[in-house]
Amino acid sequence: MSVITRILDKNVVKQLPKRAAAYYSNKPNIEEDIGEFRVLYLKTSKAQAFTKKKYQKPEVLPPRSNEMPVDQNWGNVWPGPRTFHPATVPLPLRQGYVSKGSPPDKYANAELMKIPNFLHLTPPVIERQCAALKKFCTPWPKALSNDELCEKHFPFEVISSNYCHSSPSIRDPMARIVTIKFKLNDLKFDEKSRDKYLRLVGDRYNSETGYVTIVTDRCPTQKQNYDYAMYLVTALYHESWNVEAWEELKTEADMEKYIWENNESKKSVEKLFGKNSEDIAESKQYANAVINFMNEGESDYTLANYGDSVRILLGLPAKTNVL
Amino acid sequence: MLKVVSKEVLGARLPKNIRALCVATHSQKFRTSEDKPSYHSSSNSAQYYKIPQDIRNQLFAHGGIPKSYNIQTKSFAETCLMVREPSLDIINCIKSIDYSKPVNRFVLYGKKGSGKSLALAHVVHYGLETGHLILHVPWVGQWMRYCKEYSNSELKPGNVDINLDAANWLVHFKTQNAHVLSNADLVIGQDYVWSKREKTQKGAHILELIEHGISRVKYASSCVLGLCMEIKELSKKGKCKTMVAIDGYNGFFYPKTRVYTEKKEMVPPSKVTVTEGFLEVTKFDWNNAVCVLTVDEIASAKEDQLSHMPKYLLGKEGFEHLDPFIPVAVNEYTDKEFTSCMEYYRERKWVQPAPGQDEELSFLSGSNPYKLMQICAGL
Amino acid sequence: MLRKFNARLLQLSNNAACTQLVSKLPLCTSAPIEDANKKVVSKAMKAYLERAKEHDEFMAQKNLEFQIGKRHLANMMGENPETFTQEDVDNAISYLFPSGLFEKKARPLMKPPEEVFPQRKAAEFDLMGRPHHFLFYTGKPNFYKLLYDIVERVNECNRYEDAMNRKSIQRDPNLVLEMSGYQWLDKDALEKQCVEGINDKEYNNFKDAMERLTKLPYSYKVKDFIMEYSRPLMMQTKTHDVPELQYDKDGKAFITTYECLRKRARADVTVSSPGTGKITINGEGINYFDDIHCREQLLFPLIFTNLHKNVDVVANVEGGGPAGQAGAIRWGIAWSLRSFVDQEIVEKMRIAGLLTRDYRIRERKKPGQAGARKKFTWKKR
Repeated sequence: MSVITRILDKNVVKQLPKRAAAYYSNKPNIEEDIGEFRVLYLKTSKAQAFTKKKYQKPEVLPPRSNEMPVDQNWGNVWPGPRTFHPATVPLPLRQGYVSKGSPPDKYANAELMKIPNFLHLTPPVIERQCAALKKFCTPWPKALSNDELCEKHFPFEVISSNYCHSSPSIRDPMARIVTIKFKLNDLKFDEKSRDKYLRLVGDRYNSETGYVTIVTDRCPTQKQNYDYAMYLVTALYHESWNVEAWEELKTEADMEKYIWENNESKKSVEKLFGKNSEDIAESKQYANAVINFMNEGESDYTLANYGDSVRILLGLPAKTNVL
Repeated sequence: MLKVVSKEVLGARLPKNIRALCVATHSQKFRTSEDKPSYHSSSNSAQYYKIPQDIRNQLFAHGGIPKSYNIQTKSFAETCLMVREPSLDIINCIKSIDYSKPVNRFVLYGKKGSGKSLALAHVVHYGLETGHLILHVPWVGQWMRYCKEYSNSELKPGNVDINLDAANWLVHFKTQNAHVLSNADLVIGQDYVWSKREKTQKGAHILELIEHGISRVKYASSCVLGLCMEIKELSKKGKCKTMVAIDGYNGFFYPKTRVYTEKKEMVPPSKVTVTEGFLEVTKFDWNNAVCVLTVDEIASAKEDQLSHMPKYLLGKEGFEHLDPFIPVAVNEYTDKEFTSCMEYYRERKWVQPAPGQDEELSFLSGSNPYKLMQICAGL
Repeated sequence: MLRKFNARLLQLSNNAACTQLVSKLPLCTSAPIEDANKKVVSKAMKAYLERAKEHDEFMAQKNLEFQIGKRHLANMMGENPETFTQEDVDNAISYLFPSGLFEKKARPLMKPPEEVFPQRKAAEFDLMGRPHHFLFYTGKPNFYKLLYDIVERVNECNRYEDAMNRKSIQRDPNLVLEMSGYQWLDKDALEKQCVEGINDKEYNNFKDAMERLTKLPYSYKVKDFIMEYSRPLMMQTKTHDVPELQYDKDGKAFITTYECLRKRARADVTVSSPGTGKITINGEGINYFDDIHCREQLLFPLIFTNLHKNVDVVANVEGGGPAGQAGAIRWGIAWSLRSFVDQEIVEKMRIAGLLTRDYRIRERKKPGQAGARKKFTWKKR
């Protein structure tokens, strides 16, 4: 009996204050908190002992940008084009539109990675690159100080494109195209050869700007196309000076300009008066009016001129202006 | 004097005839009482003159005045034309031409709806008044594009006739020239053999030729052709002075027509019998006559109506045929003409008067007479 | 959030009394009660202070980052870090990160943390838990202080008016406050100023109170206060400055408006004065347009300003159909005419709708429908 009471005493009675304290106190660990609202814990502390082992995140080193000196050579840090990397760029960038709150920072920001960046081409880097390239360049010739001189000494303009590829093949079929531009007035012509040249060249001549543009792409390489273009330029020029036998068969309908002597107009006038055109008074100004009218195209002005000249020719009173 | 009277007295009750007179004086600005074109001068410019009804019936019963204008004249119960600069110019020139010299050709040109046909009508009236024999083709497009009937020609194999139209035209010609045709001197110079049994003798009066064409529709086109040749000869001999007035002359040179052969192939104008006649008549190898022609965009198909300029419309062939000719521009209304037109409309109670009306309308219509007429129709 | 925080604080402060009482209970085996001399800091207060400290530290750290970043950026761009202003920062960022995003707020930015993070209030109560602001317990002290200020001003004005009436001095009409061109601070701006959330009812209250103040006869006495909370109404005509007339070599005044758009038509219009009312479109006259209503469109601005006889118009137009082109030219003419005409008529033009750029475009056809709006025949079964 005393054993039981001793056991009871040991387990229950002596521990009673402890247990009572545990029962009545706020937490299993009693702290010195004044003003703390006591929360009732119905579960005992043991139940809380078995919690899942938390996933230990791997240790991540602090970002490299923290170690970067402020006067570093940025060109060495970011030598080439690269997607944005937040730990490497020491700027506190933010991007993103959040209706409430601040834009998200650079870490795990897809927007900053999406947009193109020119971190590899900052002004000092560009200067350095230019300085490096300078030794491969020669100075601009002093004699070509303005555009006109350039055009005078270098009338031909050769345009070609080169392409870089990072695919299995480094060649691009578009690289073979060669364009040559030059001004028509730089070539020497007389009237007939100029007309022939323009007919040969056709659409390639732009009458508004005065430039002839020859585009060649029929050969597989650029060099061949260039040679062909040069050949074309030479051939066209010489051909236009050549006079063929059949050119004499050029009829009135082929004429690009209106020449009064060859035309019906002269014949009509002669028939009308029954004399040769030289003998008819006023025929010259009439001829001029007709030539202008035909060559420059119809307009109120040329028509009016024509009308006036006809009136003079036929001896009719001039047009009255009634206001 | 009357004007002064009207100012004082206008409000009071007046007998009707005097009030009418007062109104008339006020309207003198845009109307002229001179209804004989030969007395029209630049002082009458931009004024309306009235064509007496009988003359109108004589001249334009079968065409000559454009359709929409015709309807307007019915509404207004009178036929008035505006005296404008182009027709005055031509009349002036005609007054001074030497009829012994080769024929002068005038070509009226202008944008759509600027008043070419009406200018021509004015000149035709002048021709009637001065006793010309009028060869008036009201609208070439009527023949080339809306011909009533076409058939292969008998007398000219390879050509196509447009007989019903030709017959109508002969009637038109007859009514127009009733006064001149009564002259017994007008005789034909050669035989016309129509068929085995029908023949018009040399020396017969020209009326016989015309009658034959009207009655025997089958040969109408050839009659027209013959008529043209005869008139040319007669003018050369000095028996009559002619005025050739053709509206839409470029229709004779436009490559596409709606005249077809019996096989439904398109016939160019050169293969239509009547064309030849009018082409002959517009040459300069005769005298004692004058030609007044118009070239109109509307005579060609819509896709080719790019320009109103005569050379474009006539083409190379037409231009060479007519060269040298005197081009006469028919432009849009000037300010004075525009005001005059509006005054006329208001006087006819066609348009309700409103402030600032003239300016708005001139802007909207671009001073184009036809457009103005269209807009005012709705006001 | 702060409100809830405050509410919780209130709760806690109530319970603080309880815990204090409880701590005196014999059963509680907590540590002996602190000395009365030692400062009694409640847990809630402690948490608040911690949070405030955290925020300050956070802001300080961000500021430091920003300053370092600025130096880094200056170094990157090869500029002098000492004289690197915020404008230079912005330019540099737009150079390094060219973004074509339409919304400017969505583009990359590098700004001082004060501009980026929303402001928080400074410590609202001291260590004892006693609030600094006398209206703290309203929950929105700054806002209610504002209303209180308004009432103060009203009373001040009334007193002044009474004094004036007693002296029988009339009000000087020139000094009366003109509020016709002004509107009150809008809700977001007011919220930002008070660093507190404001609901619609309270905002309307504020507006009514300000109106009341303004309508008083002697409100000009408190003009500065009123002006602080009002913003001028931006007139549309002021947002678009009327361009100066240019003169060509003949001494003619002209104005060219480019990019006149309407539907798919694009036009540029030159209006010159003195003129005769001549219109040229693509080299042709008004006959370029066949329909009358297209021509009327062009006529409208000229007749409205009564300049149809005094100006010449030259227009080049391409794209679109006749109505679109006419609309484009009309807008172009009206826009150019602003320089030839005085402000009053410009206002009238704006009211007439001549100056509004008509943005209506053809709506696209949707799949499952016959047209943009038209649906297929609806079958019940």
